[in-house]
Amino acid sequence: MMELMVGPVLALAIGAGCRLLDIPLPAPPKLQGALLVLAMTVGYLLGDKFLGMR
Amino acid sequence: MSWKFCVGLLLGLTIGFGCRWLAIPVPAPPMLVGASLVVAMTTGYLLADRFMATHPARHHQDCGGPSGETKETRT
Repeated sequence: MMELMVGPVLALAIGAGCRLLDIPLPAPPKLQGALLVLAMTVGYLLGDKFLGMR
Repeated sequence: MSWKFCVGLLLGLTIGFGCRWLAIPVPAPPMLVGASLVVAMTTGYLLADRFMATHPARHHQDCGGPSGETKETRT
């Protein structure tokens, strides 16, 4: 449970730090791009579930 | 939400599904927690960007350029 709370806070800090220090971000700098990455993962997991049902 | 963004999301879902179907490595974290961390990183970047836009440097004119002069043109 603790890890689930630390992870997002650390990710937010990494994103903010990259912007403040002008370092390239290891993620898409636009929210739409990040949501596309999320959509790919969701599609992968849906495929995993679908193939597991067959 | 524009229709282009909806098409992009649909394409993302299709790419993820197809990668699993064809057993190709997916160009995204294969776990939902990992993908959520990518979104969190981008959110932090955008929040810092918004903060920097609303808080411009107040003493920028006092800072020296490459030669140390404060009023010189920066390249």
